[in-house]
Amino acid sequence: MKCWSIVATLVGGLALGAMAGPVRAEDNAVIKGKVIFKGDPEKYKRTKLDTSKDANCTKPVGSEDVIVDKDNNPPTLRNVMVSIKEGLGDRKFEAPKTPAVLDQKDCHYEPHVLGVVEGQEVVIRNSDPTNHNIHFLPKINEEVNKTQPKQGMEDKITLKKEEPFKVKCDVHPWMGMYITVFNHPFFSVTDKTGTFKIDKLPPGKYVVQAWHEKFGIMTANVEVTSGETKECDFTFEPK
Amino acid sequence: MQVKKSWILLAVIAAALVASAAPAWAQAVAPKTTVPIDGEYGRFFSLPTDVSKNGHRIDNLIHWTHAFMAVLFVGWGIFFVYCLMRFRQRPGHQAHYELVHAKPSKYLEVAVLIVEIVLLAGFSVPIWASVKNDLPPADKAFRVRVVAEQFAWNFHYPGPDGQFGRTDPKLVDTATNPLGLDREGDPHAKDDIFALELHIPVNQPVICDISSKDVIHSFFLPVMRVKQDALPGMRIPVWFEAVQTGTYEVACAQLCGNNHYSMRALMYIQPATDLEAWLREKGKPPEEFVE
Ligand SMILES: [Cu+2]
Ligand SMILES: [Cu+2]
Repeated sequence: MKCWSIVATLVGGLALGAMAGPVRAEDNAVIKGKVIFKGDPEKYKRTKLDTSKDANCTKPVGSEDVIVDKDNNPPTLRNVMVSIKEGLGDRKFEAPKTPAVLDQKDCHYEPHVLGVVEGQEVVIRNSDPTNHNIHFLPKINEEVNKTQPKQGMEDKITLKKEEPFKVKCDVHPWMGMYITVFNHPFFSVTDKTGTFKIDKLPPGKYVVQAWHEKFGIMTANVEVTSGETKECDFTFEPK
Repeated sequence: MQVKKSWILLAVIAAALVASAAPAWAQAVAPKTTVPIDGEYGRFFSLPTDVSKNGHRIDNLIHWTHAFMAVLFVGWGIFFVYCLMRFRQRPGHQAHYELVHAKPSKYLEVAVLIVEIVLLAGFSVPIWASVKNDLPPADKAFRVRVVAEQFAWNFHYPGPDGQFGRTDPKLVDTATNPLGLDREGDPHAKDDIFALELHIPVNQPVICDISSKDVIHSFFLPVMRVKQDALPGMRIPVWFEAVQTGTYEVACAQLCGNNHYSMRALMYIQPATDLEAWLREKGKPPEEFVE
């Protein structure tokens, strides 16, 4: 984590000053793959969390720190943030116009891991009939600490600097998630199928990084040419 | 002058209206809870229900202090009004600025001093010493660790072995391990129980060791007349004994941040057998969550 944020700061600093360039025709390479879990899935069963503090949290909430989808063969790992760590040079990329959505639903966060681009808007929503207090814990970006006491409330936030950080709810101690702010749009979070896909990549030599909140960081070197699709799998093997 | 007066009157009436509507408004906007609370709180000028063995001693202290203060307040008030009238400015009278050396005022001052000494040395100090400092013997008491954080109360029970396991801030995971219990490294930690509710036995002394993860909070059990600051880096014991079963409130009595008001937990006072059953249930490995 620490190492990553240092790298993120350095890359972010270097990228400053360069202007956001247009998307070029040759920016159409794809890196995709799977994040495989090698180990005993029984050791990492999801557990029901104690939500007794708030009687309005009626639906059971499961732990989300490690989610192994053991029905897949081989078993895969969910909520792994796969992104381009090095190789984009000092090119600047525009933030998407559509906002990223962070929902508080059934007393947990949806999604559990969220990637946003510098300057992209994040919509924070409370879909529950209870009070949530969203609390961003960044080191570089501005701290966000907002109460949303009523169902349907929304807040809009723009994150300006590249950085990964944790988010928690100040009312429900079991609620937590992670946001990573990138200075480019080349990232993907693994889902139920354990797969990720980074597309519209410029041709080049990249260091691809896979991050998991419990199992840490893995990297791989991948080179793609224009129009090419390369497979790249990561295997997390906890002791 | 007339205009000003009527404005003040209006403002007072408006403030009174707002104040009287506040509880109803608070109730309307607060998230609904399905757990009913026993006891009475906030009846006009009265203390909340007391279900503790020692609470009445604290209550007596409060009542005596109020009685003496009422005598002082009324006495000084009458004297003040008397002085305003007796020594008002009027023709032919000149103020003089030397101290008055009258006997009655000296006696009065000494009397007030004696009352205060009696309150402090005769009541407060002995009551405080026994209610607060004399912890019951450890083998007779039910022990719970209370860990405060913004904005929740975490309760840590030692489990069947009666020993609290090692905790380490590095192991804290807000969702799966809020206490930072070292379940792998310390055998005592294996059977430790974590809960967001306080369950205690009736008719048995309870010792709570209060600490905090972040800022200063205050562990407040109104029905036990217990209030103790939770300080990060310290583990402070308090004790009490419940004499009646029921469901009551644990509050935070120190303004600790944005959601201080939501820093609330429930305290269940139970017969020993019910408590054991609950602890056994809580001590089981957590249920598997299936999507
Ligand atoms: Cu919440
Ligand atoms: Cu508090």
